[in-house]
Amino acid sequence: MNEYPVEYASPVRAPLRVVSAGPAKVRATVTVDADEPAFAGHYPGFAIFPGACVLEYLHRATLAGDFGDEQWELLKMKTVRFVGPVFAGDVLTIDVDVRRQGAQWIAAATARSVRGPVASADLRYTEGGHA
Amino acid sequence: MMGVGAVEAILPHRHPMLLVDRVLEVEPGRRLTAQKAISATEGCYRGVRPQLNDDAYAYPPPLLLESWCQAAAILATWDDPSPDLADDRLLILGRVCDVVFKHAVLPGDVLEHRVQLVQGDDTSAVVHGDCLVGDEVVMSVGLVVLARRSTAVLTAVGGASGPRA
Repeated sequence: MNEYPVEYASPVRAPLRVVSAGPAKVRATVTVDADEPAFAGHYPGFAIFPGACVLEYLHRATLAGDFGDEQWELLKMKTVRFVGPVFAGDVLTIDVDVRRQGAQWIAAATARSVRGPVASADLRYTEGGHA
Repeated sequence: MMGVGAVEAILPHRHPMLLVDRVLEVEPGRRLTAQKAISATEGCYRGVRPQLNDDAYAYPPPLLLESWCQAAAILATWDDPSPDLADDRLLILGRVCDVVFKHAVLPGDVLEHRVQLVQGDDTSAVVHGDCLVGDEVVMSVGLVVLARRSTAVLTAVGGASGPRA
């Protein structure tokens, strides 16, 4: 579990473990514990990890990259696909490839569990505030 | 106006993942307007280090999208809801395209989700729309596909690590 305090609002508690983070690639893992707060309401009697929480991990893994002092702001989710369920106890492996296009950064992020792909996303970021 | 109880009669989501407070208007099969108030007491703000920088209190974009998608799910399942998952059906988020975040949402803001159904049948729904705070669009949603799945099939997919009661 995360140590409190944390620096930003988030729907997930288990911290990402950043395995490697370079200027263009990030790999991180996270274990989705049964005590993640979301499970209580998603859903009673059928605990399945919300897609929004997987998306939060893809976003946070992207921001964990080593991109100098630049502050990034999420501008757009170009595409997101949810292809497999995530359950308590699953370990997610997240890979992010980042490239620059003009004033935007484009992150191609994927998450997978032992059963296979879970989600993929094309996320667009801008430096500093919203464009 | 429909309050939380009426929303819970349609959606299976419960605290802390029930992210719609009210339905303001609905034209079944066509469009819906719903509301959610953002508060600093929500779970996502637990443990945030006190600081003067408002950025730390920005409502997480994935939750903003989730809240909008729940409004969409109310519209998509209006005539045939599955609030307790007892009938082996679950509406899941399948695909998202062109969701643009225009302004940060902060505690105290009241979201107004505007959802239009582009296409829908027993197995899936295609929706698009906006989320406003006051007169300002804070998020636009190009397209979301919600798909109905069998809970039994999802359980089988999970195998030993499947969903727990």
